[in-house]
Amino acid sequence: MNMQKKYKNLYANGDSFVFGMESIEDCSTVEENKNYSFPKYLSNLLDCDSYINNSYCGASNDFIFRQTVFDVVNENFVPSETFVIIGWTSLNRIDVGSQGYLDQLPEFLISKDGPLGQSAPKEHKDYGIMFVNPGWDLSFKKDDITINPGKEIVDWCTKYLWTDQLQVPLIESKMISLHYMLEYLGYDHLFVNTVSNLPFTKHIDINCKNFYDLDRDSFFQWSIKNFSKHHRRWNHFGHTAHNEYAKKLYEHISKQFK
Amino acid sequence: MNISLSSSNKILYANGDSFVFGMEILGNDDRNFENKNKSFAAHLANSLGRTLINNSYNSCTNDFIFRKTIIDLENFIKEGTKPDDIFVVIGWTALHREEIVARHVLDYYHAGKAYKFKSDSQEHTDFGTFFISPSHSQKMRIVANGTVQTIDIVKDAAEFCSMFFWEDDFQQEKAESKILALQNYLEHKGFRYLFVNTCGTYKEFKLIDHTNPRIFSFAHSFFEWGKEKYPKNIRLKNHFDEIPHKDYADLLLDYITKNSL
Repeated sequence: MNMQKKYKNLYANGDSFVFGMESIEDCSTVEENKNYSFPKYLSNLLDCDSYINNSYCGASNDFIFRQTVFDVVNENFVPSETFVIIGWTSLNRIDVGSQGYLDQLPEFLISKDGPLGQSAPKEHKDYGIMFVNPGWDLSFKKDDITINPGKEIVDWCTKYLWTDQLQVPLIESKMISLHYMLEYLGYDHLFVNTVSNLPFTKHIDINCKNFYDLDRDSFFQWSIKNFSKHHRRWNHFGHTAHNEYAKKLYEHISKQFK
Repeated sequence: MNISLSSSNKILYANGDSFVFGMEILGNDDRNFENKNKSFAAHLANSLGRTLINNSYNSCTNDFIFRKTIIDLENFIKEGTKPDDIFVVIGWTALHREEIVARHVLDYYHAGKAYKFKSDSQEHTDFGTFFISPSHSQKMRIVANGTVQTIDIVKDAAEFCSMFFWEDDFQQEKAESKILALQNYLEHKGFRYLFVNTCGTYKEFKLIDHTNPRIFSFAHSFFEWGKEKYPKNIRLKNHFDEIPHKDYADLLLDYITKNSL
């Protein structure tokens, strides 16, 4: 299949599936996974010279949205030479400031090798935030004392934030505005769902060429059906699934972006 | 209250918080919809000869303003209105606000189906959500068997937000991404627009071009302007009567004319 359009750069943003988490092996979160993720394989298929993957494991949709908005304005990409791929994640995620909770913890619990010390997630080191989802765990332990702020945060979000009535209009407005922003700036782009298909998309034109199967299988759902043997311990997939998914995206791009 | 578009008139579409709503224009703590007809948005619409659609909500968040505006404008386009016929005025609000559902309260009291809930908050009536802020109580009356109990659902939620969400740089970054995205959306679609700051304490933007004429005086909010010029016109809950609204609309009109917006 011949691509009629040449892109120099591929820019990706999204969650752990865009990051390629566990594509190397079970439980692996090292940056090297990005080189075995579907955006990397897509970058190869598109014959891009440069591959920028700014995704974070556990990222929320709000984080993905705002980092992409800032990156496409701030970075010196030439829009006509850059293909943008965004992997929207599950609705029930949020990012919270980490410093607020650290200030409340007794000092003896905060060790250098604790969850917000040397082994802290990248988003804490880079932005001073923590990504929270329903399965998230953040515990501080010393001797027989354990404090689990993760539980408190998840409980709060479950009570007050994580309902479709609140989250669906938010993701819809972000998708619509980011789509038009990228179009306005001159970026070819594609949005995919990584975790689940989007419910109630009455405000979104799902037939738009920039929205890939938003109402059908997400990357996770597609991979579970087709690559169950490559399913990793922490619910991600090996590089084979990523490579095959990239081929599907490439086929779509070849037809739709000429 | 959502007002659907039924004619091909030129429209002034306004969205924002209580200052855009015109809260308290008619009297202390007054939240009646009639306030909208005396707000600066209404005076501006009148001066520009446009029909006002004011979809603002008291105490709302910047996220809400962003999502409601996008979805409203998309609906207008689907109904056949040309973007060129709509002038959009957005009043961006304070950084420290959140929209919550509080469904656990409703689920708890609904256990026996014997309770009725009453809330004065329009967002709860329209969307089932509540807007909370550090200084705003959110009372809900629970009526059962002839007795009324009032609960304030804000306290626990606000404590949490103070710890995890309401940090200036974090919130400014979140707001800036929405402002930037909405700006690009409006320009791409061909809407004329003006962004004002109603009561936010914004630091200097990192990426938004504050010299863009469509961003009106973000360093000095409507509230700050009104407080300095009209200290005697401040109402009980820190809003204004009609005089500052009218003069602010004149200020905006003059600005729009001078800058050919």
